[in-house]
Amino acid sequence: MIELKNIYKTYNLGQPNAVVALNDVSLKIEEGEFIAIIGKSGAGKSTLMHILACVEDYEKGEYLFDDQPVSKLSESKKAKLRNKSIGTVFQDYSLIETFSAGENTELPLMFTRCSKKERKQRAENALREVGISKLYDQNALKLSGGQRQRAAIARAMIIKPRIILADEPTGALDSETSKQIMQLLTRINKTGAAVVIITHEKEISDYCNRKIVISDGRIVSDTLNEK
Amino acid sequence: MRLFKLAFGLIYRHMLLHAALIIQMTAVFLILANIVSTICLNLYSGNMMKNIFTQDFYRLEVLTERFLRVSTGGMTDISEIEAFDPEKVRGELKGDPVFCNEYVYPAFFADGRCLDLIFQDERLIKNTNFLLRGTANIEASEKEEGVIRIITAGGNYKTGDSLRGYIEVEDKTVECEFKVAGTLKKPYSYLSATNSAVSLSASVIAEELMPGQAIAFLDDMPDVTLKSANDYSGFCIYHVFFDDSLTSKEKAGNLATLQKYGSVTSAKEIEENTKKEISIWLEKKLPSLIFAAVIAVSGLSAVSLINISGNMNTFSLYCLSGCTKKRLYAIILVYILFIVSVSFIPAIGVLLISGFFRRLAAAFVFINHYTFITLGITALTLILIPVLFSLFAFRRKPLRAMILDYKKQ
Repeated sequence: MIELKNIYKTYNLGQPNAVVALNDVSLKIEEGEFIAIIGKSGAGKSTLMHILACVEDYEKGEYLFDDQPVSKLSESKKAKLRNKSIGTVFQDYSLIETFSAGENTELPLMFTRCSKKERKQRAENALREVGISKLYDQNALKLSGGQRQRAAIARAMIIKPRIILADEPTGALDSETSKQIMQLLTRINKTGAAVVIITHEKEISDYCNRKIVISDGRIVSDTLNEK
Repeated sequence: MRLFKLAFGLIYRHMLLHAALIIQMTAVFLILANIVSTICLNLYSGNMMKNIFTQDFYRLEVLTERFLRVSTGGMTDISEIEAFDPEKVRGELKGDPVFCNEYVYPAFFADGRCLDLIFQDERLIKNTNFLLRGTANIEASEKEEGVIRIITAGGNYKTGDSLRGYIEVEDKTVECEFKVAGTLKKPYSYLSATNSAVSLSASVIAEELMPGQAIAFLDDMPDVTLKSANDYSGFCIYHVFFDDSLTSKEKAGNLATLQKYGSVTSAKEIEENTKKEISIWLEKKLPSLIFAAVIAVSGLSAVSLINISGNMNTFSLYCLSGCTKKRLYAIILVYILFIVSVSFIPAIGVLLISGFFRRLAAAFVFINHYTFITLGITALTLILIPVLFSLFAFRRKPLRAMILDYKKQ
């Protein structure tokens, strides 16, 4: 599904404060995989996630999505790819505070031709799947941390994505809620979507089938997880 | 609707700030409308007289005893005032000039309506560049025996309407037939013989015709003795047209004769004064016009830019959810459009109300298409400039930077 071939990314390229974020990174992600990308702060994990989410460009290498080079896609095609195939979840829940949980969940469908009725129905289903169906009309600000992250996951899965990219999805949660969120992501993965989690916590990476360790912008290990 | 919902998310977050901005913008629209309407009115008054400006036209303000008593508060010892008899003076002038005064008599129609008719000379009426409804042309209106042609303002009168009724002239009642020769568009202005000033300009001598008044052709008046306006209203102002065939010497002689009886202002002087008045107006009002526009544009631009940077997280989420940059621009456009429209609607409302109940308005508001066009252009500028600023802000901001900004917040 996804293939990264010798990706190089440097911030402030050509300037004295240039920082190499990714150095010759090659990676393949297949449908239904559950991957943890582990590394210290500044190792290049988030840069890798941004490239996978098509929000970041790179200098060298190739990113293929279904064998199509992403670099050749126009901005609107990239937006369409994000809208149809890639779901994203962040550490800080990333909800729009003025929207309700339901409206936050509907957000990706607002950029499609989906009718209001269908949007609502799909949002309700997604919220039911993450266990907060009763909170559809609740304002995002009034949700607890765990509920917010569930709403963010519901938003990511409403489009039935082929891959969910989660950047430290449990980073701001207590251990019990983290466990519930990971179980939820595991369940989503079992429905067929590939899930890529960026984390520096070993316990979180243990939920995944594959662990990729990244250090100083390079992949230093890529192993299957023996559960 | 979707775009509106996404755009409204930006407003909702800073409700008070937006409410203050909307009030400010409404005030700016009202200031602009007032300035533009006054300039338009001055320009219109000048335009109304454009045919007269090209002729040998004079406005004679006769120094009658009563006139002087009014203008000096009755404190002046007036010893050398000649009794003014228009027919006698007319006899002293060369070339049989048109000598027009105003005669105001009420007319009562068979259907129960009534109008105060301001009788004016045909040459004065036809040379007044009236703004008429439809394609009606007063110039084409020919005299019919026994019919008094009238020009109405407002009311339910249509050009070509025939009305039966009577007029009361002094103590007599005269049965007449009336025909509507034209209906005026706003502003219902006509050249009046009642206003005076040290410096006469079009805006001074233009008077507003009220809906209960109409201009009537003096030549159509039945053969009844009319008292002069001098006796009727206490003012004695005449519009005098000299015959075009007069030599310049004869014209100068006529002018000298008129000057014996009072103050005479030529069309040329009125035109010059009008131009001067408009340019003074523009000079006085242009800075406030520019100031109001700058405040509105900079206020809206600043608030939209602040709002954009404050809502970078929202925009980044929109983008991550599949929103294209084009759609993001559309959201910003709808957001700015919403603020401008919400400010524009009460301003238009106030203008319409003040135009309708003119006496309620502190300032004279003359609403015509120029006022609306100017407001429209202002609104478009108000929309366009902040949108361009916002687009510029976005262009410089790649999606990754938006997400990073968001993470920092």
